Amino acid sequence: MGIHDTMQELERLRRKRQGAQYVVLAIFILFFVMWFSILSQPNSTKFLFAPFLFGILIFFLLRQLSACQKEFDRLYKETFVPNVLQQYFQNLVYIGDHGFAREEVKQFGLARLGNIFQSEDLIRGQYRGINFAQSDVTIRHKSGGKNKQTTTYFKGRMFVFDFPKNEVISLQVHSKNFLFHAGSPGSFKLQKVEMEDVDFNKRFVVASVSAHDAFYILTPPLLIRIKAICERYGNVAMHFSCGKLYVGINTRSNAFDANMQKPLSYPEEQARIHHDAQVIIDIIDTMTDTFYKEGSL
Amino acid sequence: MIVLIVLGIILVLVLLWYVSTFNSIKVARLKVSEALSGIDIALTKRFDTLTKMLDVVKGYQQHEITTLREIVSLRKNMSMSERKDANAKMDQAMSQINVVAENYPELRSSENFVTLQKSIADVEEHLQAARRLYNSNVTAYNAKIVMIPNSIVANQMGATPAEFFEAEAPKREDVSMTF
Repeated sequence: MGIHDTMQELERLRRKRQGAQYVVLAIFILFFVMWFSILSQPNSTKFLFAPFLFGILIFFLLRQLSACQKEFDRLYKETFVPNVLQQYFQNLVYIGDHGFAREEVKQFGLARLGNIFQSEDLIRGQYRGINFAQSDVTIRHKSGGKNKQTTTYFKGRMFVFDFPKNEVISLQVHSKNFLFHAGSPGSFKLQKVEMEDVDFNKRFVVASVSAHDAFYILTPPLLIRIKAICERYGNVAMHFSCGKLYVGINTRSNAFDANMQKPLSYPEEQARIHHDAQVIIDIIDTMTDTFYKEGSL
Repeated sequence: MIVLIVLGIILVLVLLWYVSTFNSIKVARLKVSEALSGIDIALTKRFDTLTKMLDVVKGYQQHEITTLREIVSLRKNMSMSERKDANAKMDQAMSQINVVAENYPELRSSENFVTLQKSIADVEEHLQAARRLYNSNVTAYNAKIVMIPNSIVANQMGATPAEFFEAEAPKREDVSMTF
C-alpha cells in the first residue's frame, strides 16, 4: 500500500471509530430518554426487556469500536514509527502492541505497582553505542470495598540504559512531585541522603543503600543534568542499579499515538513521532555525557 | 500544687529536649567519623594504585621517579592536615607519572598502564565522593552545634566544629590531563 492509500485507510478507520463513538453516545441518550418515559407509563413492566436489547446493541458497537481502534493503531504505528526510529537508532527492534512485562517493571524500582498494568511501544536499540530500551507504561490501582476508586500510579514512558558503574546496588532519585514512587527494592533498605546542593534537595528525594554510592554517582554535573530533565519533562524518577539506569517520566500520556480528534496529516504525524523519538535521544545525551566516554561500551 | 505540676512538666520537657539534642549531636558526630573513615579508605586505595603505576613507570625512567612510600605516610588517626598533605603528595606523584607518560608513547599504550589509568580514575572518583560526603556531614554537624539552643548542649559536651577536607588550591583549577 502506498502512502496515499495508507493515509486514506487511516482516515477511513478514524472516521469509522469516531462515527461508532457518536452512535454509542446517541444510543445511551436515547435509552435513558425512552426508559424514563416508559417508566412513567402504566403497565411499564412489559418493557423491562428493553435494557437488555440496548445492552446487546451497545456491546456489539463497543466491540466494533475496539476492533477499529486496534486496526488503526496497528496501521498507524507500522506506517510512521519504524521509519522515524531507524533514522536515529541502530539495531532497532520495535513492537507496537507490546511493552515491558509487569515483572520487568517491578525490577526497575521506579513506580509503585498497582493491580492494572498496560504497556506498549517497546523499542530496543542503540544510540551512540549505548544500548537502551523504552516502553509506554500505564499503572493503575483499583481499590475494592464500598468506595471504589481508580488511582493512576504512573502513565508515561520508562527507559532502561546500560550504565558503566556496576558496583552500585541501588540508588533512587525522584522528583518530589513523583507521588507513587517505588519503595526499597527487594531486601535492601534504602536510606535518605541529602546532597550538598540545597536546590536539588528541595526538589528531589535521594535514597541509597549507602550514602557514599549516592555521592559517587550523583556528581555535581549530573545533579545539574537531572534538574534539566525534570524541568523539561516535569515528573521524573531514576534508579541506578547493578549496571543499569532506569528512568521513568510521568507524562500522563502515551507516546507514538495519533490525535484521533482531527484529520490526519502526514507531515504533522511524522513531526509528532520525531518529537517522541527525540525524548529518548535527549535523555541519553543529557544523562550520559557525564559518565560515558567514547569506546567505553 | 498546680504550680508544682506545671514546673514538673516543664522540667521533664527540658530534660527530654536535652537528651534528644545530645543524641542528635552525637549521631551527627558519628556520621562525620564514618565519612572520615571513607576518606581514609579512598586515600589508601589511591596510594596502592599509584604505587603500582609508579612501578610500571619506573621501568622507563627509573632515576627520576620517587617511590611513593618515601614521601607519603598513611597511618591510622592522621590529622586533617596530614591527610591533605598525603593527598597533595599523591597529586604530585600523579603529575610525575603524567610527565613520563607524555615522553614515552609505548608506556601510554601498554595494557598494564591503560588498566591502571582506568583504576586510578575510578579511585579518584571514589575519593571525590568520600570528600563530598564528609564535607556534607561536617556542614550538618557544624550547623547543628553552633545554632541556638543546640549550642548550649554542644558547649556542655565540649563539641567543637569539625574541619573540612578541602581540595588543595592547584587542584581547584581545571587540570588538562592529555596523553
